[in-house]
Amino acid sequence: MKSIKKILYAEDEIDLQTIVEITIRTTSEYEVKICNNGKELLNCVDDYKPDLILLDVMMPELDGPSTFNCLKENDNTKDIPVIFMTAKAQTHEVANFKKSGAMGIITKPFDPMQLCSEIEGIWKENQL
Amino acid sequence: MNVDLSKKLNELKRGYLQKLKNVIFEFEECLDENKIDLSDLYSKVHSISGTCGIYGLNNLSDIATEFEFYLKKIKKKEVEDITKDKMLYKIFCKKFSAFIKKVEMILINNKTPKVVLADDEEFVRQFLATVLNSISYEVSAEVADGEELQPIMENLNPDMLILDINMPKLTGVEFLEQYAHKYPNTCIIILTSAKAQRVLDEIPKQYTQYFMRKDTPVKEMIKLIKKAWISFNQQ
Repeated sequence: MKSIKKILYAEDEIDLQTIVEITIRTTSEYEVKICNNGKELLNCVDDYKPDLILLDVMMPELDGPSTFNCLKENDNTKDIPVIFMTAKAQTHEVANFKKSGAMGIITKPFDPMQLCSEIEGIWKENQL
Repeated sequence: MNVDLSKKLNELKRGYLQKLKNVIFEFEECLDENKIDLSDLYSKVHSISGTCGIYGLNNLSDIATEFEFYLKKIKKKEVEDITKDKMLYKIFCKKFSAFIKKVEMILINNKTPKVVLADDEEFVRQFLATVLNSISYEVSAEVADGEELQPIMENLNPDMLILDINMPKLTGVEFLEQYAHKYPNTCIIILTSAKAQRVLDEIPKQYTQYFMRKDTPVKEMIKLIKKAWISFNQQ
């Protein structure tokens, strides 16, 4: 079974970037790289070659759903698993993306203590 | 429970609360000056709702989420300039102002301060009492000189002291030097006249970082007092 080594995370809010980065670095062995929006993520996804992408929904420049569509249209990136991170208010909108192939959804606010277990849970569920 | 992560998150939370305080002051300014950018406000409130929730600040998160839903609703109406629709703007101001007040109250632990005013000029004390009453701060006592102040402080142990520098018998600076160490839980705001600016250098800064000139416009004065109180409570 493939395991997660590198995560690419797109989020425009600095506070959340910091929380997620510190959480991942402190509670897991994953390597993590942060992007400020979808456009930045698309620019570095080929070089970074992540095993998993965490995608915020509301972002300037290029939002989560549009970024997701771009990733799916590119042969090099279409198979990289994507987990959306979304506020409760937007869960309904993103549910459609799960149907279109997103690996899972993490609802904000999430519990930092549980974040990595949640990621692993979604990952394992999809490896079966 | 990961103790290391818990410590790091607590540090981040403290920093975030400081930042939130400034965001709320910016909101107040926008509301005062009718400079409302609905999209910007929506994304900031959305951010408060999410970030507070992650830090376990659930009451703040709930207040922000409620206001966020309202903003989402009025954004759907595609109101480009909300100030142009008088009725909508009136309701918006009411809701925005209520949101700001609720967040402020939580930032100061739901506590409005009891204040002692020390100034030798009666009209200054009266003026300050009116300003403080307008924001529901309670004036517990007024004194006209430094000597009178000490027993009042001893008896009342107030949450806030607004202290004039130039007072007879015992000046504000002398009071700070001799007695301020006894009142670590009192937020002290130094009151100065324009002429007394040079005296500021003599003030022992370990007891206070809050200063206010007597000729400060009322709106600014209210902001300054609120900022001092919120900031003091987060130390």
